[in-house]
Amino acid sequence: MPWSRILLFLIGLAIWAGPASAQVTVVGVRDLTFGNVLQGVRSTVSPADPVRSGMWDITAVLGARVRVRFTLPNRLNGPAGAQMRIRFRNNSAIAVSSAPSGIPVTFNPNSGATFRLQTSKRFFVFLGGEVNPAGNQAPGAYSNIVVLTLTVF
Amino acid sequence: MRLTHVASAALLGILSLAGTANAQSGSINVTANVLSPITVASGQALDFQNVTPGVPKTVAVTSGNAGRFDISAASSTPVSMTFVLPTDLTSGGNLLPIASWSGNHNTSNSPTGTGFTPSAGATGATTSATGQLFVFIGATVSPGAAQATGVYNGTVQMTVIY
Repeated sequence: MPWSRILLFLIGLAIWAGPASAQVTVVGVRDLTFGNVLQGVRSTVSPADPVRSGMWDITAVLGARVRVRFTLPNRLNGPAGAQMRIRFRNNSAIAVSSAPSGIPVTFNPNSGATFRLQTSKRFFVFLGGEVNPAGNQAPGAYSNIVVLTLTVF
Repeated sequence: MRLTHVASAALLGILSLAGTANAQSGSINVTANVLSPITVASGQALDFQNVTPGVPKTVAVTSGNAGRFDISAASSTPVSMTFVLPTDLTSGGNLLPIASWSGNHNTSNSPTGTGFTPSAGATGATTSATGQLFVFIGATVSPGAAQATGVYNGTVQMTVIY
């Protein structure tokens, strides 16, 4: 294949890829909030919790396949270097289309999931989790960050 | 309209090899606030001492005979208190009616804090900077004119939650 055609193909690919990139947005809109937890008492937030679950608002490309992956912490950081275990179960994440008839899909945030955006380019992802404070867990505020990465194919 | 879950790992692999993927990320915070457990100790019994038949007797929250609960919890944290209160003191099969209840909570061991009515339902309070809260309980008994003599007693139960 002549170099000019290869160059033309690459330029075309770049033009094709450009608009898709511009249309993709991933916005964290709500923190995953455990609130008050007691020493020695496990606390769970369901991904279906309308107040305490974490939430992302995602817009991609209609018809595209998208992969949702998380960067999940296994500890929350507390006062004076204290740490508290956090874990995410295989049903701790939910994705749902913004379409009125969207059916929630439960998935494992530890492994992520791939979806096809069939009828709406916008969807939401919700995340729950579980903290298990030790009996002598240092009182105080704990926090960490969860990153959701969306890959559009 | 649906969001289709593609479970096939093989399909994922093919899609990845296509080389046209583009990725975006967004983050949220995860937060929790660890509180120490609440302990409630019986600081002092509510004691009416001698009661005369036909004469109501009140033990005020400021009295040295008022009941007292000692609470230890997380520092400077709101708590909610509820009570299970007897309607009578008992002595065998005899009853001594309790006409009313009074309460006062304070972050120091003094009944000079905030007054409340224990029988009125849940009461809010905030612990001290060291996590302490003191609750004082008073009441009035109304013995009948023919009240049987004897030692009467009952139990006040307090529950404290965050």
